[in-house]
Amino acid sequence: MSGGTSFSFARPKNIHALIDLSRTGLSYIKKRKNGIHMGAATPVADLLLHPGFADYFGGVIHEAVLTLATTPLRNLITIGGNSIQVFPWSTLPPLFLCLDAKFRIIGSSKRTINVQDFFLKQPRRILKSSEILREIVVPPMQRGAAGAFLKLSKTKTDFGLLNVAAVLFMKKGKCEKARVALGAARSLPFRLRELEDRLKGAKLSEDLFQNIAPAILGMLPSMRDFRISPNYKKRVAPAFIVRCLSLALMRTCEKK
Amino acid sequence: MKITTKINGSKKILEIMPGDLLLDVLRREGYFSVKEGCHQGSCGACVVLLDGKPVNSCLVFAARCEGHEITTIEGLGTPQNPHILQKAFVDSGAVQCGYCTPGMILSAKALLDKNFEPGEEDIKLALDGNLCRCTGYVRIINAVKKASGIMKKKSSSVKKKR
Repeated sequence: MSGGTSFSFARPKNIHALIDLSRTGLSYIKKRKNGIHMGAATPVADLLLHPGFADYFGGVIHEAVLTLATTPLRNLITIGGNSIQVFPWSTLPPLFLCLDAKFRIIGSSKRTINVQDFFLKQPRRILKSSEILREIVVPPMQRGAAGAFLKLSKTKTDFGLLNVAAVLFMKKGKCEKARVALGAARSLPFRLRELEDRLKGAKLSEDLFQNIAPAILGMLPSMRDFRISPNYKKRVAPAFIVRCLSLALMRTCEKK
Repeated sequence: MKITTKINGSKKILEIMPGDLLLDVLRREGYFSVKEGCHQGSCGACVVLLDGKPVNSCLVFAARCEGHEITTIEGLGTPQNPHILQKAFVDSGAVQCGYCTPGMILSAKALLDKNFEPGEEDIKLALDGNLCRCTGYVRIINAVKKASGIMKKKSSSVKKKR
């Protein structure tokens, strides 16, 4: 275990031994040429302290982390734990999907898994029993790119009813690449590829987002959730996606 | 299994089971200021400082605390000589039933240890994991502001003396 929050939350009986990964030297954030490397055992609170993330893609990591649980929990929950033990409402996975993050695994040999493959099924089932997640690498900042993260929840610190992450890569006034991902919509986070394709190459504006909002509704899968009705969730999702895209677009303009 | 920790500045060797949670171990050892509320990391009644950072002790395996330092409110002040924050909470009427108070004060201490001139938003963020169901939060936030003001005065008078 790393932070151990989800494990201790489950209050398992008859524990004979625990392996504490918090002492394995995997708590670090390092800025390198190919991106920012985050050790799997890094508490998510540390993401708020590292200067490399203050303005990273328009501050999207700070924005997401501030919606992730509470201050005492952020000191326990780790970046790796939030990515390996994926709950529908886990905050970081949809954001990592938008950032095309890479997951570096260590075991009898080393391997790197792209984010799309990492969240295809529960990541715990992707790792072999001899492997652990070593670090997550997010790309260096790019000019003209910014993101946003929005969470729908009953209170600021409650589990998300819907998480929306978006990162827009703009070049000469047009969208070079778009990434939009949802969390708390299904058991695993996923990208809205149809929407991304529609945005790619377009001259983006809030009006455009508003115009395609009805079409977004058709791009969404059915979303079952005992906390709110599926119909409400599906209706509210396009509004949140439009809001998130507008925020990301505004931030790309600010960065010029 | 045995673990060695430091609790409120004193070295402690604790006999624990691998699955024991820090909250239960601390209460077993007589640190009754650490309260059990929700036991799921939502209420903050069990907050202690682990190496100076607030954590929900109900979600921390005690075994993880080997070699680490734990602070509970018993380690802050005494009735005769309360910590600035404890005095500010009493003076501001920020305590009603008292169940959330140890966690509140420890979260506030972690904030003021880093930044003794926090803005209201900083205070709200620092206390976002501590629920109070009696007084509301206005007096609690006022108490932290009051303590911060006293700390600022003390620090400037120390600087002047130098």
